[in-house]
Amino acid sequence: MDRLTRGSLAALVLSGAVLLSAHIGSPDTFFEGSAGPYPVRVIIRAPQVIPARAEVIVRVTGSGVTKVTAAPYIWNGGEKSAPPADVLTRVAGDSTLWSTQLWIMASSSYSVRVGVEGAQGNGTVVVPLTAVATAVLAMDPKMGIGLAALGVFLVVGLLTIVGAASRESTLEPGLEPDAGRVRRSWIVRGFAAVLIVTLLALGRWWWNVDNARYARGVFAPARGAVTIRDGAAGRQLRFAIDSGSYQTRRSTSPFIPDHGKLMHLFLVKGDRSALAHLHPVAQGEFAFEGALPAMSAGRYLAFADVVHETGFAETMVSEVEIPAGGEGTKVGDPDDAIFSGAPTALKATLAGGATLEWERGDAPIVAGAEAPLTFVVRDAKGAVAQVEPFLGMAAHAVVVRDSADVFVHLHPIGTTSMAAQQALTSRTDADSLRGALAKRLAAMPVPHVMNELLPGTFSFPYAFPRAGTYRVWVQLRRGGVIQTAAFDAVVEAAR
Amino acid sequence: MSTALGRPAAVAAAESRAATIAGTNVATATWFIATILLSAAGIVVGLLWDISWHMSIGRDTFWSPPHMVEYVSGVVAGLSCGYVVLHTTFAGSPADKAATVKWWGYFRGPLGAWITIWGTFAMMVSAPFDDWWHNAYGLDVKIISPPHMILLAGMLGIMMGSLILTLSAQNRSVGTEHQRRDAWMYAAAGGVLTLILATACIEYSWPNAQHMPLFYQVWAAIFPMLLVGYGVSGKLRWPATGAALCYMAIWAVMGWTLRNVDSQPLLAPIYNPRTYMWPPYFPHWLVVPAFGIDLVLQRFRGRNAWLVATMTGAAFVLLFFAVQWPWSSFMLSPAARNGVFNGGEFPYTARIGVWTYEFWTGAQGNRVGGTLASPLAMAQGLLVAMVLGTFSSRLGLAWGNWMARVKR
Repeated sequence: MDRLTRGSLAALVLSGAVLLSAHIGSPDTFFEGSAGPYPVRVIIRAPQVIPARAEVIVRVTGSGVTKVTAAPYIWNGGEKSAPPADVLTRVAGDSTLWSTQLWIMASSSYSVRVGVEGAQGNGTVVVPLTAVATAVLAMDPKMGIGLAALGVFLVVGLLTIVGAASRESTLEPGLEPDAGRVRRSWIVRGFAAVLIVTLLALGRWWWNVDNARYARGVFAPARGAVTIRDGAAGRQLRFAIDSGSYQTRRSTSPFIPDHGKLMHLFLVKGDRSALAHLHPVAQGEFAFEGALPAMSAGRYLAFADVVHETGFAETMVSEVEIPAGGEGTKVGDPDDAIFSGAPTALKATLAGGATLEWERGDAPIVAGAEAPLTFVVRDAKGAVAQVEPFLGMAAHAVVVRDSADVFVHLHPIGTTSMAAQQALTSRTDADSLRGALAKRLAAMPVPHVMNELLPGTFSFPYAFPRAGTYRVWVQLRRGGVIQTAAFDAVVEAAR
Repeated sequence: MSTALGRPAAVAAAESRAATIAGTNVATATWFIATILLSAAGIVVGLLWDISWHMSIGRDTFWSPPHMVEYVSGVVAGLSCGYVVLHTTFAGSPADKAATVKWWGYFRGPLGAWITIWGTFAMMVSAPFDDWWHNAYGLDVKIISPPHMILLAGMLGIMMGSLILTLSAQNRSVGTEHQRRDAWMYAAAGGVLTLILATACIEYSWPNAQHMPLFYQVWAAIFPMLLVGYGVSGKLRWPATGAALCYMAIWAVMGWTLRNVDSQPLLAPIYNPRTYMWPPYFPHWLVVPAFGIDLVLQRFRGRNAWLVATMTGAAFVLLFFAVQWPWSSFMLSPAARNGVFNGGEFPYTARIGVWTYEFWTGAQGNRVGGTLASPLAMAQGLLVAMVLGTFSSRLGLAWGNWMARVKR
């Protein structure tokens, strides 16, 4: 099992995936919310290396907007440590779209504060940003050849200078060097060549050392080990974080509950025919346990979403072989859900004759462009229905690319975690002790109203990172029951 | 060996040579050499300004004013030398070509012009390499990176080019009325080269680092070579002292100027909210050991080279220590926290605390080890510095003896 896990994870890592913390292979941040009276949709295009600039694109749909600003606040920096906010410029040809570049100087958790000023007053909203280095850039061969040619030219130039300096620079003007000087200058050039080659070799060694150091700092998802145990209480699942892989890369900080749960664990069957969305409970600092209702036997990928008290959201990865059995095991958490079934084209049937329809439109879905992920719930009579909150939201979507190198958990507010936003906005100077904020947040009531019905039309702000077929599971709650529908999104490469 | 007029024959010969070479010859024209010297100064001023920019503002682009000063200076130097080379090769008289070296058997130009062109070219090559480096590993994670080393090599090339151009002018004008002017231009070029190396050592040279041996070892490894080289090859009465004075003057003026420029940090996290540009701390009193080196060279030049090197190495370390040890104490005192001495000035990223006003046990605020060197450890450290200073001086003697003879 362990070998299988490691092998598959290595394949995942080596598949060229751009790995990112809060999700896998989906580096950009999408957020929908309100800055005061202004509805905003924020996209933060994450840089692959840190320090670098992140592109921030804000769509403000309110009227009379005069100024949009953005500033990245490092999670523990406080007000005084932040630079003045950057003022966004309007994107030509679209009066509602604004953009700028933010300087992200360290891998960390940030709150990007987006401010909007205008006729309706001023408003601010916090967008959580988990910024990590995710790749080492390889040099384009053409550029490599070009630079190498320039380098050779520099070396030849240097040797020519050494030759001229040793041959004739000390001669009285007008005199020509004799044979002895010419010979000596060749010897000097020989020594200089050896010195230059030695220096270049040292430079190469230095570059390799730097490259290796940088590669070690590139973020990779933490690993876990999933084990399954059948006992008197039914089938139990345990997700144990590989603390070795976890702690060597960054300091740990306590987890905080997201939608009231410390961990959201998704099990995705290899052929995508089954999905489990579970909420195991912490057992000590590095393990989570919960009931695992019966699922079809087979190999599953495991993606575990957690949020740290720093606002740093990440997805840990594992794999597990689920054996047959487990019947009779009761759901451990009222928000746990399992689903098995094939995808439907556009309209899925829910319990009681209701439907969930994907308003996909006819246009092709293109990688990197905003995806048309709008869904409508209708009752048996065809009228738009309402939904009950599921984990504080109208709906959740789980997106997995065919080769499993993209995993993302979406909400109608986007890719960001509610808990991260709460942690970043709640932190005060009194929370400087490790764990203080986590304790405070855990004691707070879950920040949503459980009984209020939500509109049955919702959309997920997102752009698929690259071409491929993606399985999209949409989960919502109606009649007290969590219902899941599966769809396939075929995404074309950007032209 | 005197003419009927009582003037040394060598002087008369030199003046006649100089008269031949002068006239329309651009390769030895004062305006040309002065342009390259100013370009070299522009590069180092831009570099120090750029460092101040990173300590005060943080955020920059290729187009930031210090970068522009550096690149424009580099391009002006390279183009001027390119013009001189082309002019001398294709339109130069035999007298023009006499004071040049050959390049690939055909092109002609002064040695300093070739070095300058190489430096400009290296600076240009470093730009795309550095840009790629930023994309691959992040924006200026470190100052000391391979592309920055190529940039520094290019800058040093231009410094060396200006040094050799002023040097050959000085060596050719021995005995003429321009001897003093040319010797001072050479000292200024030496001061500029000293300045860029002092800038490169900035992280090891904070006043707080000067009660530990490392500071003296770093400086003893580098600067005796330069100062002995100038001392041997300069035609001023006190050549090393002159070059050190030029370094101190430019550095001090930079400090006095920059602190009067308002600025605001633009990168998080800001721990020290600066409101004006970081001014480099008052220059180190390099003029004191330089004077010692000049004295030793005047008294003992011509003796065994290793003996002379040992004496200049020891003189450098002892005199530098004698002045910097008490001076650094002054720099950490409240009396130095003003616009004259620029004590207690730290970048916006520094968490200001007791450590900023104390002596450090490591170079860059690093307190590993915890205690300052004992008198014995300090003495041992200074001994190591003297050994380094001796080797550095020996290189300087060899370099200076070659430089004293450069005429093209």
